[in-house]
Amino acid sequence: MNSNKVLFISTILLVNFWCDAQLAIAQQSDYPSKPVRIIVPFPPGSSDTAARVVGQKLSSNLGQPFVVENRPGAGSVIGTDFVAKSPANGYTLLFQTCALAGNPCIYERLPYDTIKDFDPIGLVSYSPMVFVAHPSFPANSLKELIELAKAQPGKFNYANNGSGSISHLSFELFKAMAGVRITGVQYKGAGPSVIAVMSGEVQMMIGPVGATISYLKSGRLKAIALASNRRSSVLPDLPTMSDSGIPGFDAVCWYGLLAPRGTPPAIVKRLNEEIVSIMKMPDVHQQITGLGLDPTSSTPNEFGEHIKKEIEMYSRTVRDAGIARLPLK
Amino acid sequence: MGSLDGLLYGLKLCVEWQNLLAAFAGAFFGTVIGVLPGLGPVAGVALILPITYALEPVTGVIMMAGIFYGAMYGGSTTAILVNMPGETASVVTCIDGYKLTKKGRAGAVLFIVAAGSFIGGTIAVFGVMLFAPQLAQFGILFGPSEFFAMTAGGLLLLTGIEGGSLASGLLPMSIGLMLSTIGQEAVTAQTRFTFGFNDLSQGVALVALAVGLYGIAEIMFAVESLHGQVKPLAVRVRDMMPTREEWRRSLPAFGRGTVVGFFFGLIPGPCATLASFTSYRLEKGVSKYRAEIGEGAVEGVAGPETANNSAATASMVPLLALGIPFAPITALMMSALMVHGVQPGPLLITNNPEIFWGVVASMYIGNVMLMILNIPMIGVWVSLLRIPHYVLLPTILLVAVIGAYSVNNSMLDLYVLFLLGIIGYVLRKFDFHLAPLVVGVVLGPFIEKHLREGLFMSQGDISVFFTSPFAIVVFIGAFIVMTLGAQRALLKKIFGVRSKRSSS
Repeated sequence: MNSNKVLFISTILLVNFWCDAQLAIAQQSDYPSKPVRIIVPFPPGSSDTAARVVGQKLSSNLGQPFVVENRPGAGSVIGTDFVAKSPANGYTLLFQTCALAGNPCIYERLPYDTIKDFDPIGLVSYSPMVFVAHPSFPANSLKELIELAKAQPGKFNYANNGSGSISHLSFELFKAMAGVRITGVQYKGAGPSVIAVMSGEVQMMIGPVGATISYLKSGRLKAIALASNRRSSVLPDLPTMSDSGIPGFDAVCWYGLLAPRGTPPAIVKRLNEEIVSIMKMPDVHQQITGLGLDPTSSTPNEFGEHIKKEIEMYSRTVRDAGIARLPLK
Repeated sequence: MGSLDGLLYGLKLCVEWQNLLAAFAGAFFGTVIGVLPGLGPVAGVALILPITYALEPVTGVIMMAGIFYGAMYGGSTTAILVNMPGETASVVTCIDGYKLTKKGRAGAVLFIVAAGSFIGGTIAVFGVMLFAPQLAQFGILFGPSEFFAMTAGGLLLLTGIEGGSLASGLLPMSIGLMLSTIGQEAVTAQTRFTFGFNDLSQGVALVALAVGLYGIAEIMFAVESLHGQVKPLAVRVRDMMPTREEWRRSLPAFGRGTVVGFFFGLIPGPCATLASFTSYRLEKGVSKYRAEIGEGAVEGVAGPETANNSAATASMVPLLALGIPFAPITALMMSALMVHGVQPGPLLITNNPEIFWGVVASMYIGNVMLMILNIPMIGVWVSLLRIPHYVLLPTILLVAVIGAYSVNNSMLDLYVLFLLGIIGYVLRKFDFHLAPLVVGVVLGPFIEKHLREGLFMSQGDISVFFTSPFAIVVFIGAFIVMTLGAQRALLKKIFGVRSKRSSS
């Protein structure tokens, strides 16, 4: 090859690389420049409603569509794994709940690492839980319920939303702390389990306020105690379980947004700022509280620390309550 | 507020331009979604959910309800024309609908389906309007024993859904049951038969299965017989209208379908699918022309399509009157209401009468709109059949693949699509029936779940399944229906012999 050719080719290559670099920088500063996917690893009609509210606001604030995509399966493991393995360019995000922290404790092996594979962006809301029972159940406070359960071990049943869900783990922790034997019946999701308690098939459960509030208000369910230590605005007179004989009990779920590990920090920061301002908007506040949730926000670091603490708490729960771990190949 | 007052109030709300527009948009969008295989009403409602946040709650629910029953109508279009179900509830429509298309009656069948959907939906709305609060309680009374009786009994009954020998239904049904065990088990969340593929933990995708079994297999058959194809005759306008005879035969099927569909809409579960399957089986057992069902009898289409629209309408009852969503789509509607700060629940009728009556009234109007939208379209649909095969078949294949993928965005569903296509092709070659396979896949998880739930709660006491009065009735009923053939033979022997004696 003569030197002219070499010069020519190397110029072309240099210009090419320079353009690529410009494009990369431009993409970062022009984020978002194409639609963004928010993966919700649950079926539609459950926790994804909050994701859609947030997604809609993000779309209008950032000028690109933020589309919610449902990828349900394996207790949210499938959708979460999908995001973990997605490119970390800020165009695939994960909207998760406390199931993110529960899964590493309940499954023997996960296809992803909950801490190492994600960059937390921020908390979106808390989902307080409430201990409810069928109206005909002969106990009106937690103390009465515990006494009744101790007197007749194994007679009563409780509903939960699936293995490893907060309704399962928190109730098992309650049983261990109160020293009672109540059989757990699994249902797929909050909907069927709440219906089961309402119809009297099972006598009680610890469920999300959002899914139970309308039945509590109309008398089809009885509230025994608040399972979360955050006083609820919709159930102001209800004592917490912590105050009713199970000190230190605090079961509260949360919703938050994450990105795959390695997402450019500028994008994470941008998204976090947007979320913080979105959750302060009055119409968003109204919509989120309408779902029975408690809107909140945090910094990415705070969210990351929260997840780590939750994982620790759940693994202690699984150990203390003697819950068998699930194999997931 | 009495029913008539409520209805008038609701109608006044409905004719406000934004609610009319919402009903039209919902019915139209729903029909399109129903026609496209894969994309089901749940996905459609999820897509428009953000739009509804900006609307009044009434308008939002009207649009979502429109999508639901619009999809029930649209799903039958491809089922009839190209043997590809638009969604699972249309699977049985494929059987007789496609045979009728081959006989040149496509336009007539589409007309009858439109009429049936209208009748089923409208009568169901009457039921909702008059009896919603009383009916709402009905669904909650069902516990695991009742559900087990219904699903297990239903499984036995539906083996004979396409008639023929016992083996021709039983083998595919067993395959369906086996397929339904793949995935995460309902009670302990342990995964079964996933062979390390996490994507399988959700089980085999029902849409991919139904579209593959019917649509892909049909494409394979079409390609195989391409050389022997006769050129399609030009369709005359007269052929597009059903004959008097077809109308006459459809009427009882409409009636039966409405009742069956309404029942299934009130209880939890895949209401529209179960409604259409049961209606088909009912027609096969009870109709005067039952011998023709499976070969292109109009009852086999009229009944199921009426049933699934009736079920879609009736499924609003538990949501509106009790605030309980029995189907994923009504769960979405409920969350849309909650976002607006409306509390769905037994107090909805009293606290937000505009939502209840507005939605009820819109269902009348929506059904009328469906008719108006779709009758003129029949000509367009039928003319699609005149597209040459080398364009039509690849297009159908393309649409099927996109549809199957769009459900879960999973490549696995495409493998299921093609695998089931091969299975469907092989089964048909050996004269096995396909519908029982779908029945097995749909009912399998429910049977197992309710059996285990019931045993769990009774601490292992199996008598709980036989002590519930409803369960007993169902089992006896199933036994009677299953032995109907033997009973008839027995009676014939007794009475036939007698009459022979008396005449000689």
